[in-house]
Amino acid sequence: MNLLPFIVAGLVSGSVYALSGVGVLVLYRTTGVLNLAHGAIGGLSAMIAWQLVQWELQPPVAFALCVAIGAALALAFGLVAGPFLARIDELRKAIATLGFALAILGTMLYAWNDKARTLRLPTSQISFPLGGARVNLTHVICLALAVAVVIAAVLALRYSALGASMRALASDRELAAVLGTNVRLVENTAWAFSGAVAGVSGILLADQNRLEPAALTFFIIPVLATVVVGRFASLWLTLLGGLGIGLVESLVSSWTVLSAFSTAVPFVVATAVILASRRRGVIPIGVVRA
Amino acid sequence: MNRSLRAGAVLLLSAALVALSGCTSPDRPGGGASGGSELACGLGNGQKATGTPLKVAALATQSGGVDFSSSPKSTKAYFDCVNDNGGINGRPIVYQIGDDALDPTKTAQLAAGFAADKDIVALVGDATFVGCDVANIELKKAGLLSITGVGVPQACFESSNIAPVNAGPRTSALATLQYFIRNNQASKFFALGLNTRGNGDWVADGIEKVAKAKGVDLVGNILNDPNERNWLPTISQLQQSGATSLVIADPAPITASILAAAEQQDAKGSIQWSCTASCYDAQFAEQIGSYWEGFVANSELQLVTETSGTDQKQWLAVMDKYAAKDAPRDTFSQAGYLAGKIFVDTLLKVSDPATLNRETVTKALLAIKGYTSDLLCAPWYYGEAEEHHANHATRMAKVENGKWVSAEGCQDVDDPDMDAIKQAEQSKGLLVP
Repeated sequence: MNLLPFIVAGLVSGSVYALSGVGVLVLYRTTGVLNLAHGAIGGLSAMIAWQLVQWELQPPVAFALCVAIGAALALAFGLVAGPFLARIDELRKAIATLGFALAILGTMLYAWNDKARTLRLPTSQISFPLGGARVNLTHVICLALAVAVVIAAVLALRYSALGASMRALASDRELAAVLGTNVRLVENTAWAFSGAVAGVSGILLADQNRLEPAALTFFIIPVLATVVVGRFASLWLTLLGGLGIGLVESLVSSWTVLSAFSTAVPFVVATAVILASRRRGVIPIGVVRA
Repeated sequence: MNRSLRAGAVLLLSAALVALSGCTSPDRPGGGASGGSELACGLGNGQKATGTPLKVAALATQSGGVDFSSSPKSTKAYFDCVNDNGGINGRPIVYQIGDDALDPTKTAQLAAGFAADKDIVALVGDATFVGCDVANIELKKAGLLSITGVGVPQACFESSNIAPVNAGPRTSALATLQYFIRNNQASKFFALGLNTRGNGDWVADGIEKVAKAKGVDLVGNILNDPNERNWLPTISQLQQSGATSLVIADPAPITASILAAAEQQDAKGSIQWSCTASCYDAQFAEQIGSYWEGFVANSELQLVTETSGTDQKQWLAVMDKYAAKDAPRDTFSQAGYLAGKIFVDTLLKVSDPATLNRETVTKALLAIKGYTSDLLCAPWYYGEAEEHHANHATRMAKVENGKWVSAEGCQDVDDPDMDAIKQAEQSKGLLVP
């Protein structure tokens, strides 16, 4: 069997996991909120993008608008719920976002029937053969975008004033506030960034995978595994985790005997990382928030 | 700053909403095929029915991730039209749809509730994805019958008190296989289905039996997880199998995602691709794109794009006038309309509407035989039996320029498991009025 198509597909889905993982991680590090609605926000963005394209809006305009809608939706949630979330523990913060995810999912199921939908990016029409696999421009964009976003996020966190504020909040929220960091501004920026990333991921995933509200909402599961591999701290490990999970998932699926279990790969990888971290006396979430 | 950020977010969301509301929806396929002015449902006297209401209900999966309400929605539209035209000899139909939310426990509860309400005389236009078996238990105890619009699981076709108007996924898949056999395209056949008990396995069983009986080399008969996102292994298996044709017996969104994945791998090749009636709707043909020109589907009733035929024209007109603008105009909508029409036409023959109650309605429905419609390929019947599968002759369609066009007219479908049903049709004279 030619494994190259599986390697390409794995790297592509892995890069979307990584891209979303970066969005989830930056928000988590800044606000302490593990946003379980990340997939749903991306799903809603993709569904609206599809609707706008159906209504004959120019696809690039529709996609840009939907990334903005993703950012606005996350920002709106951050603005409304942020002050309340700041006062509760992390588990309840995550549960609050789960409620938000279900509300978005319900809205999508109400607004769109379950007929077939496809969202094709113009870049997916441009393809070339590569050793028995077929690679299209969207594949390349997915991979490049994941790497670019990680590099941009690392540089921004290290060298920009906003990045320094984000790191300050990640280290000690109360102390950062006492020292004059504009906590709300930094948090809102993180919400908007995370929402925009969710919007981009949703559109890419809809093109590469299934344009369905539930499928896109539960895309958060492999993304969470990716963030676990990044130990809720490292952008680079998140990138590698996403690519690794995508690759292993795809390669496992190529093996007929194990194919049905390929969706379990993110769980297996996340569990292995957690167990390995515990053995070394490291509890990932505690490290970040301590 | 918080205030300005809030204002910014509100503005951005408002802009998005304005952008959404400013866009106009394109014309619906099939819409406006017939004007509402000559719409004469039922008695067709143009007078609102004002007599004692006749209660009718439907069980449908409307939420829970699957929306199968296309059928009862069109049944309701038809009943509304009938009520505007004299009702059932003066009695208006009050129609109630129960959503089982893809939960068989809820289907059983709803069926028990309908059974307990003695004023409900029948179920019409049902479309439950999960609960025919549990519903039938309640219906049988209560002496209540269902003219189901859309039956999907095996149990819907093997119940004493449920008679679907549609052909079902197994017949639809077998119709497709036999179409390829007739066209010499089934030397190596591949089937894909959903790994769901009483549905996908039932379809796969039929494919295996018919392939064996017809000497078809079945090179793949795979059932996939309904939540599958990665179609590459399946496409890889298909390519390695050397199949000349295949049928996908999955819901339309899954079928569309399989086609998208295949297109990305440029895996169409010389294989003749097809799907069962589950993907036969106008939106599917538009969505799959020009790469899939010639894609084939089975249609369990008249082609939705057809504009001739009394019932077909009335279905389109009823949907235009009485259904929501975004209500689907698909095969299942046709089935719901037809279930309603069979019910109304049957009860209109009862001369004294005051005598209509559950007992008399059940008796009248059981006596239905040889019911013809231009939506059907062969007469439909109810009859007293432990299984009901009257619709086993279907049509084929193919995609041309993003639209479905006829590929083949009515053909009866061979299924070894239906021999007893076909024998009963003849011996009991069920095909003649």
